[in-house]
Formats: sequence, C-alpha cells, structure tokens
Amino acid sequence: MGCHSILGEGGYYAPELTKVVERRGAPLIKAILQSPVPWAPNGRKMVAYEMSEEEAEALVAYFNWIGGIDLNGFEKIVSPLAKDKK
Amino acid sequence: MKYKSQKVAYWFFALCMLLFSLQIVYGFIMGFARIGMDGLHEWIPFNTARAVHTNLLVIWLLTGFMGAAYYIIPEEAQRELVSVKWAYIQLISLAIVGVLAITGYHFNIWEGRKFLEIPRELDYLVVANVLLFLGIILTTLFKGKRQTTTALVLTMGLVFAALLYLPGMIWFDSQVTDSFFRWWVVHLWVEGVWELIMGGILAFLLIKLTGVDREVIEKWLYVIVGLTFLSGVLGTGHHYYYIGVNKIWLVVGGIFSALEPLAFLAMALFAVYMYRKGEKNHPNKIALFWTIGAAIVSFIGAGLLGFAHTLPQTNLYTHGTLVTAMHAHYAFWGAYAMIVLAIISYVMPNITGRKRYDHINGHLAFWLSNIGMLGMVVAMGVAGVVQVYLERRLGMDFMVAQEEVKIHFVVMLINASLFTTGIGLYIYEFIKYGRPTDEALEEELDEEQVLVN
Repeated sequence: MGCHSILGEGGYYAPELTKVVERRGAPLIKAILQSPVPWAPNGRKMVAYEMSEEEAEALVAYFNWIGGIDLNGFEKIVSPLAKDKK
Repeated sequence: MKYKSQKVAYWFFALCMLLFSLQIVYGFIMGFARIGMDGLHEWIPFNTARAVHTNLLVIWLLTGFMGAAYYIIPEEAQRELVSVKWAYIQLISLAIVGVLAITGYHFNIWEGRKFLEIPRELDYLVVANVLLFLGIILTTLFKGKRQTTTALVLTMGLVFAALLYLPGMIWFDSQVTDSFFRWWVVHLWVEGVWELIMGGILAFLLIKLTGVDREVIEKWLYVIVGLTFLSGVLGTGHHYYYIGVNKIWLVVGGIFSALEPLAFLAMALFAVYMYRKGEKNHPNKIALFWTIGAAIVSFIGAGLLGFAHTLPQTNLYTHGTLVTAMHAHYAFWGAYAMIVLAIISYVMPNITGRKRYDHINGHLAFWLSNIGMLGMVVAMGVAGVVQVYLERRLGMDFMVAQEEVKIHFVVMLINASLFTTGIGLYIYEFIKYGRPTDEALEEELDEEQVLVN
C-alpha cells in the first residue's frame, strides 16, 4: 500500500494491483519481485525486494485471490485496461 | 494562564512544531519523486516517505490535541492538573514511541496498512501512553469544580479516539476484513470523534475570543455532536463501496456520507455567527484568524470536497486516484491542522506572558500557508481529474497517465514552497515567544479585566 494501491487503497504512486496478474501475467510479476535491481518503468523506481521463488509465488497467489473478489463494479473499471492492451 | 500546570501544553506544542516540520520535509521528498527526482530512493523510497509523512501527521495532530487538552481542561475544570510529572512522562514516552516507529519505517519494520503502519508491538506502548494521558485528563476533570459541556465534548472525543484505536490492533488474514476494520480506526477518527475534539477546542476558543455566553456556544456544540454521529458513523460506508464487501454499503454509505458536510457546515456557521455576535474585542487577532479559518476551510476541504467524490457513481472512477489525496490534504489542513495552530496561537501569549497578539509575521504565516495549501490542493485536484480521465475513461496505462500529470506536481511543489514559508514563519514566531513562565499567571488576570468590553 506504500506506493501501489490494492482494492483501490494505497499510495497512488504506482499501478493498482487488483487484477494485476490478469493484466501483466504471473511470470513478469515474479521476475519484478525477485529482481535485484529496481524495476523502473518510465524512470519511476520500485523497491528491489529480491524475493525468493516461494515468496514471489505466494504473492502471485495472493494477487490471484484479490483478483477474484467481487468489487461492485470497480474490478471492471480496472481490468478492461488490461484487456485493451492485449 | 490561570493555572501553573497549563504550562505543560507548551512542550506538547513544541513537539508538534518539530514533527510538523519533519512531515513537510517528507512531503517534499514525495513531491520531488513524483516529478522524477528521487535521488533518495536508496535510503528513503516513496513508500517509506509516504508512511512517515502520514504517520507524522497523525502523531503531531494527536500531540496538539493532547497539548490543547492539558491547557483547556484545567481552565474548564478550574483546578490544576492532577500530576504535572506524569504529564511530562507521558510526553516523553509519546516522543519515544514516535521516534521508534518512524525510525523503524526506514528499516522496513512496519505493517503495510495505510495510516496504521505502526507494528503491533509498538501499539501496546501507544495504548499505555494514551491510558496515562486519559487518566490525567479524566481525574483532573472529575476532581474539578465544574464539568462544562466544552470540556466533556473534548474529553469524550479523546476517550472515543482511544477506544477506536483498538479495532486496528486485531489481526485478520483477509485483506478485505482487515480493510473493513482499519476504517473503523481511520474513518471514525477523522470523520467522527476527531470532529468532537475539534468542536471542543473550537467552542473553547470562541468562548475566549468572542465573549459570547457559554450557554449559547455550548448549545451549538450539541447540534454539532448530533450531526457528527448521525452522518459520520454510517458514513464509514463510503470506504466500503469497492473493497469487496456487501452492496448494501453503496446505499448506506451514499446516503450518510452525503450528510457528512452538515456537521462541518454547522461548525463554519457556528464560528462565523459567534464572531459576529461577539461583543468582546479580543486583541489576539492571529488566534481569531486561525479559528475562523479552521471552521471555514474544514467545511470546504472535509465537507464539500469530500462530498464531491463520495457519491458511489463518482467514487467508482475516483477510488484509488489522486482525487483522494487532494481531498485528504485540504480536509486535514482545514479541520485539524488549522485548529491546532489556532489553539497554539491563542495559548502562546497566555503562557509566556508576551502579548505579541497582532504581528505582521503571524498574518503572513496565516495567508502564505493557506494560499500555498489551496494551490497545492488545486494542483493535486487537476492531476487527479486528468488521471481519472486518461486512465479510467480512456484506458491509458498508469505510468503513461502519470507522465501526463507530472507538470501538475511541479505546480504543487511551487505552492508547497509558499506553504512552507508560511509554516516556517509560524514556527519562527513560536520560537520567538520563548519558554512559558509563572509570571504569566498574574498577567492573564489583568488581561481578562481589560478585555471585558
């Protein structure tokens, strides 16, 4: 919640993580979480968490769980963005 | 100053000034990071800066409320505080908890729960500290010669604020349940019981500054308390629209949060009406500006700007965007920061005996900080609306939309510099007042006699 937001709550500095697996795919997310250098899209740096395989896997499972919640329509505001990009 | 023990308030206010300055520093770190200048990323990444910025806000406001209570309660209860020594111990322990928490954030020791990042272990210290504070205030109040409505509303606000900290200490495995109860703390504080604290301080200041009868002012206070509870409690629902709980909250939250501006409107009308009705021409113009300013800006920032994005239909698009940050800045500034600065402005001449009531720096501090904050809020508001449009309506990628709104953060930083100049002047004046002195005891009595018409 420090930089990103989840269920719409957080720091508004980095992208919403609800439905993030649907938008970006698990492999990329795991790579970012395990990277030893900061992921920096458009120059905006993320903390390099250097997670282990298990930790990254657990976080992806958590994002999948979040992505399955009925958010009274908010999920439709967030997820079509990804679908448009595909 | 009527009672020696009221001097304790000074040290709480001094801590306030220190924490407030630090909060602004971390705000700048975040602002610069948003325009791509994040050279401190290695040591203070954005998430740390944000947690420190918001937690410092909560701590300095609470410190200000406590200082206000230590000044107001003896005067209202007409007796000295039951223990000055314990009040100082409470202050020192509060500062220690604050320093531990903030330092920990820099070493990744925190919980990723917005506003409630303090680790649970430290929560127990917070609880012990607040119990000590409430013990001193409640014992003083009930041993006192009288229990006024103003004192009771202020104390009730402080007691409820303490009780409402507890739901945030329960552990939940589900993000949704955790968020649900996290709002019991955050929302019911800032849109509930803190309004009682604000109402209590506002009533005290209006009694002192306008000379209107206590009975008249306290009658208004009942109306404010009533409106706060009527709208604020179920108004929590506006945080529940899109976080994975029942749809019923769309209706409940929508209706009750639409009523929330009423409490702030009542406070604004109350302050302006009392000022116009007042026969006493109190020389402390700076305190009067901050008091009336707090009542008006809180209505705009908390009431109107809150209402602007808490209708479910609007919030569907603005939820999780910079629009929320815009509203939060003006609401916290108007409702709570300004009321704390008002009470400090009122108290300082009384406890130091230096009657610097109406000086140019004080007025400049008021106007520069207010114009600066308004400019920041407008810049953030424009950034928020553009973000909503580009990202939520046109489907643009988050980071691409962020690039587009970068310029608004440059504008925000310019306004933040203006704001900081104002606050710098306020702190400079605070330091210039010097330390509290017992000599101020006599002087206050003389002043009261002069003031009646």
